[in-house]
Amino acid sequence: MQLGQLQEIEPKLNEIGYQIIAISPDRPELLAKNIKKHNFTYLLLSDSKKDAARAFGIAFRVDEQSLKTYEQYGIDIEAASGEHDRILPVPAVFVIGIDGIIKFEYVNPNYEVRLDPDILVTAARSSLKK
Amino acid sequence: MNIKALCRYVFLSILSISLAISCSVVTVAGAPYGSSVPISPESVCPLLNGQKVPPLTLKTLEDKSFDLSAALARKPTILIFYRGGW
Repeated sequence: MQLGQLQEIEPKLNEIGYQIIAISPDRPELLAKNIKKHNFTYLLLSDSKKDAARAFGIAFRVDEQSLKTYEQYGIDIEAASGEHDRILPVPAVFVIGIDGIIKFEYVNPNYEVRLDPDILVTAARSSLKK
Repeated sequence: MNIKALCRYVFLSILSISLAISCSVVTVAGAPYGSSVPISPESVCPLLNGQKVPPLTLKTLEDKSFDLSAALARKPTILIFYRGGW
């Protein structure tokens, strides 16, 4: 699921009682630029120190080879987060209850395989019933 | 229970125990704020369904502290981790 797709199902998720929080490794000032560019309406937070990614157990360190590949695409992950840790989160989605308990999660090391938005809506809805 | 089924059961039990151990070792090594982080996206050990999100502070776009736990307590939440604006 891309953030654009998320935006499409946001009204539905809000309607059934959810707030949406997106966490990025980018520095706050970069995020501020992005939010203007893409018109994101949900809450966007910066995890530039990767504390949240580590705590959720989805942080990994990018190897030299991948770092070079990113550079070829003009992506500098260290400049983006402002930290020299080469850490990225595996893209992930968590459905969390007000008790702070994880009800449903989707974590896929292959960032090209994304969560189907319909599945997220269904999981969100059924998590409220339990 | 026939022998084949028993073998399969034992094998699966050992597999799941060893998986649990390998994950817990990595988790302990990389325990929340530790310096050890897995070196590939395939070797992460995420929090699991039923586990509680630990207290966390993030930053807003204005570079102010944001108490995630307090926000989670207010409303059911869809929490998305993505890789950045690139």
